[in-house]
Amino acid sequence: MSARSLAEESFAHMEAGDVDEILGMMTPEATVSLVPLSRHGPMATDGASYLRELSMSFPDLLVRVRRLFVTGDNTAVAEITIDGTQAGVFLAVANQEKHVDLDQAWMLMVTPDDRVSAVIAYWDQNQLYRRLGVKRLDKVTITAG
Amino acid sequence: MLYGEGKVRTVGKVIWTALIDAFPVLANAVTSLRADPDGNVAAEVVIGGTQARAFGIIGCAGGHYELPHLFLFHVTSDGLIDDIVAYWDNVGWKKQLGCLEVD
Repeated sequence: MSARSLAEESFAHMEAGDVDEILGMMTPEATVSLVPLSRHGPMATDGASYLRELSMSFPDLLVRVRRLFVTGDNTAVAEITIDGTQAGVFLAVANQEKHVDLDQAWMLMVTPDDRVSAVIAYWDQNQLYRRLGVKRLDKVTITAG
Repeated sequence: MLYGEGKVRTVGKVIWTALIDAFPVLANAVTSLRADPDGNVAAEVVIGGTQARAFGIIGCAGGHYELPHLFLFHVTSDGLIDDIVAYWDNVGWKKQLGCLEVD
């Protein structure tokens, strides 16, 4: 499977909430950097935790791949938009059933034997907080009623 | 906060001019650089500086920030950039500069 196909399949699994399928595409030591969350660690724990929370908090999640290219070092670079209605606490933000659409950029580094060895993601947490109704960065868990 | 889409010579220039005015010494450290054969480029860059003037809703308290960015460029066969997209986290930026409002 090519890096492009791996990436496309990863985002399809993200949309479906199939976290175990995503982990099955990773090397055992695969790392994740969720840059706006300052979370850097093993994909099997830190990455899985984020993806599971995303899936549980947004059961109607849609993931749209807007752009995808593969660089010379076999890294799949993707711009995606995630879209869904909050149904549970997400990243400590209480649920107000807000609708979220958020642009993100993901890089998946793929090994010669077609496994993802590292994942890096960027997005604007301010945009996410705005969508979720957060008003102050020191009061993330308290949203306006 | 900063969320603009348009032409470099209008939207881009306005944003960058205001940014450099507010942070006159802006360091750019490229931490990774990758490209494909079709001119698509992905660059991770840590940008940082000390605030000298207000920027948007961020009043000037002389704070310093360092912020990871991901820039996606497209370069034409003539060697010119015809598309730029950048991703960064405005929460991290504002927190470092003492601004706690979500705008």
